[in-house]
Amino acid sequence: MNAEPTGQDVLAVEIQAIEDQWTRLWKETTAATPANGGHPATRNSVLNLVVFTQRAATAQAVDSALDELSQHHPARSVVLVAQPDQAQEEMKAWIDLSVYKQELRQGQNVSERVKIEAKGRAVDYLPGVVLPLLAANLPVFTWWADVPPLDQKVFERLSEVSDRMIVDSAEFASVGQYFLRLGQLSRSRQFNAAVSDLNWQRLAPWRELVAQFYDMKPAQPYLSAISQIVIEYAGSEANGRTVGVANPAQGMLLIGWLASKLNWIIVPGQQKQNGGVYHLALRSDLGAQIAVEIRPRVPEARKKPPLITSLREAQEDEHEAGPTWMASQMVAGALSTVTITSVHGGHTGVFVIRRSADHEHATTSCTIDGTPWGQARTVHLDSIGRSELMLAELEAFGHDEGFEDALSIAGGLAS
Amino acid sequence: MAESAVLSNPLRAGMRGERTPQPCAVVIFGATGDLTKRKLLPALYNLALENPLPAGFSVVAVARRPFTNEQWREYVKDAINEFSRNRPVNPAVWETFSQGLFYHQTEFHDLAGYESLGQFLHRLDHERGINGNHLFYLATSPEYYPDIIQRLGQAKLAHKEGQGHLLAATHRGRNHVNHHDGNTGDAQDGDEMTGGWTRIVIEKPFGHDLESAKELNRKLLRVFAEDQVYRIDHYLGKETVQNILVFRFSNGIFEPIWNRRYIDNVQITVAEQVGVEGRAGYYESSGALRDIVQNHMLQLLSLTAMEPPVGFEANAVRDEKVKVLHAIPTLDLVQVSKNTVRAQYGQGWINGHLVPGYSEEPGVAPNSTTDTYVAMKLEVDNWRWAGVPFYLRTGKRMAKRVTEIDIEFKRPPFMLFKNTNVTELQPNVLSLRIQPDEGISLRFGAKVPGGTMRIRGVNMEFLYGSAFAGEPPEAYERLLLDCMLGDSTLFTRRDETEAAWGICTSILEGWADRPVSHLPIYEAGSWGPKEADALLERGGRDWRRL
Repeated sequence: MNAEPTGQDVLAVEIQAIEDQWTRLWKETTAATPANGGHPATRNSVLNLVVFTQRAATAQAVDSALDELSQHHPARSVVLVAQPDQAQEEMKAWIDLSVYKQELRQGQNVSERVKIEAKGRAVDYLPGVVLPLLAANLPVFTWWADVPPLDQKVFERLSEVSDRMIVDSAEFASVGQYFLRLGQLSRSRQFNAAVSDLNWQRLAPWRELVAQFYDMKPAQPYLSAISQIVIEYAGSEANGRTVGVANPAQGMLLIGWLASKLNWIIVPGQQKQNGGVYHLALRSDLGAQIAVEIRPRVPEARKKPPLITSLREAQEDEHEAGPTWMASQMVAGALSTVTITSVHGGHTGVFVIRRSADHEHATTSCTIDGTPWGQARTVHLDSIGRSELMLAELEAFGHDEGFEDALSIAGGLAS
Repeated sequence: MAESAVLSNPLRAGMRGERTPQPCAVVIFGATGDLTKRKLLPALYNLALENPLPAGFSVVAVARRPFTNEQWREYVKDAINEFSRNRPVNPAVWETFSQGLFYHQTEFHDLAGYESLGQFLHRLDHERGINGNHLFYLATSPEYYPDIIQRLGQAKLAHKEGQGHLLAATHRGRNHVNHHDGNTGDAQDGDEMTGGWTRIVIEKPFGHDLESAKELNRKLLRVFAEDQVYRIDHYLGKETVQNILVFRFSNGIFEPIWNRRYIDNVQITVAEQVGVEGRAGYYESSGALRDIVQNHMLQLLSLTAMEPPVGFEANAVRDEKVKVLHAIPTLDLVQVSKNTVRAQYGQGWINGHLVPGYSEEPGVAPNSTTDTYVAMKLEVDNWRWAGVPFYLRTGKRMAKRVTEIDIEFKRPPFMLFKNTNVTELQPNVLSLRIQPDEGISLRFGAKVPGGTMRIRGVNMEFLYGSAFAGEPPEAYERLLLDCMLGDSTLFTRRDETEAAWGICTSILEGWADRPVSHLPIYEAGSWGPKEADALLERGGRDWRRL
């Protein structure tokens, strides 16, 4: 599936032809495996995964990710490569049946995959091609592997057949616009699919670490007395300097989450953005002001791993492409430091989470009036590779109200 | 769940998929023993690596060997590097994890040692924000359980939730360390202590018969309340065992046929390939009945036969499990003779190697009559299961390692194909495989393609590992985390333990009533003695071939 299809693999997009091809491959696979002395291949589909991309490079990266995903979640995958700007109107498909041996547990997985390429106006008809290819009675996950075309017909039609729509706000050029629109969609009664964001998953360890500060009883008064939050995130860079438009999505979502949990509201007209630095103002239900700064920052050490700004760049780097490499990447916009300051009872508490230079750990610390409070500690940060993030997404069902609340507020902050 | 942490920290509300306990100290008695080294320490480290555990999380080792904290930390590091599924140790995480490792030397009977432990824990409460949350884990030899429990009570270390301020007040004057230097205003003198919780985990074996189990329960409950007690059976921490409940109660199609009208018999097999593996001292006084049947197998039987609980919470699930155990009649002497088989493995070949018989194992008396194999027929006398035999078998040095529950359904009532080549219809069998190759299979008859009518049994297989390929956490990781969270669903309650011992004790008494000079011998690498086959043949059945 990773290679470009040969002529004989390419099929006209006829559903019966695709099904026949799958049946043939199934027979070959099941006939071959017992002879090898292993466990017979098992047809265990647990979901349908539709992947949509508009870039050829992304499509290759998706292939690698699916190879890895298939080892964990045997699925019927339909990869849609759309090129709406092409003048030529064309649609073609090629299919694959892949057998994955489980190294740790017995048995072999078989996943089915079909890739459909559409050009020009044919893109609009992709949903109609996808529908009959979906395995019956299994949930449908749609992964928008690059920026989702929110205002295109294909987005609307695919969302109608999806149970879960997965986006990655690390890909968004304009966070505010997309957050607002996705927030509206997730709240819409007409929109049945749950929305999720890989960036929300990336934030999970950070949310956990922030929450852990306030699990300790003596620290809890400081939670309701937060006065300032400074968030630094990995920015795009050149020659060691932060450049270009950075992606503050993770920072926005973290603030959205805190605001939704602590009943903060946005102070109208006081959200400013200057050179990639966001100055935001919120107010607690007791009327206290919370000043927030979200700013890009070049990581201190870049030896391991190098910073990438997107899946596209990861794939375009021909020397380091592939899922293993991707698994250790830190995307642009990844949080590097969160500093929460509170004033309670005349004492100033500062709670800090700082990503380590190797990007794989974080150190948490607290000070009260400048004096360390408890010991600093280092924890492992979960892998942030897309495959791992997608794995978690494919195990989630239903709406995540925590995310949707955070998304709504983040949309308000960023727009 | 750690309710108070969730309720008082609004950031915890609605956190999806997170199970974070309150800051706490796990106090391990028998910290230098094999269980601690192989299972507990790797499990705690993996929890810290992957979850992560809360700030202030601490492990206090209590043992008799003279270790310093530094020596203990090296010991833990070696244990993780040798036995953890995540190894070698992650240096950065270790740095933090090791700061929470402490060693406390004492004899298990020495009250002064427990009092100094109390002072030390109180100091940790303040220095590490543990707030009086202590989980005592008894990983010692069972003979020490009564002493440890009694001394914990005498040293006032068994406080119930919300009563810890008494403990704090008791210890404050003795050895108070003020870590906060007065800076926080509200965290400097113990007033912030809410008392926390204290729980105790007890490893199997929990007693060696009904009377000893009752006596241990009495001693335990003089010091701790039942909701503080976690009697651990690591089988319940296995994902596939938990899946029995999910399989039965999250699918609408199985429960209607899960009864005497459709099921002919149930077979539960726990087969091991290993022998006594240097544990002859323990095994000689235990045997297969006490070692496996009383806990693991009766738990599997309970989960298979229980009624749907009213809710998925600890007591609701355990209420239904214990009802099953109460519905199993104890066996009288005749029934023991007729419905149980015990045997001992002899020499044989395992994995291409000649292995000695049990009586030839080091540490085993040559004339030992310890059972290394037990098979039995039990009945569950209730509305659902009346007349359905439950066959249990377990043994060491068997043909292969497998744990499986087989539900054999009744044959079709009418032989439709009698005028064809088909002479017999095989029963449908639903198999729940616990280990290895975890999964579920359903056998049914299918027509063999061709002009003549022939039917062959085929298996429809679900392999857990191929549908969910992620590596599940070790059973001890799941169970330790549950203890910290205060979720006792996967732990056995007092009445469960005693009901299970009631069944097994009736068998032990039956055996004791008719002592034998030697047990039937089965060849190592086989499926057990022929007497076990006869047990099923009397009912016109066979053991499932696994």
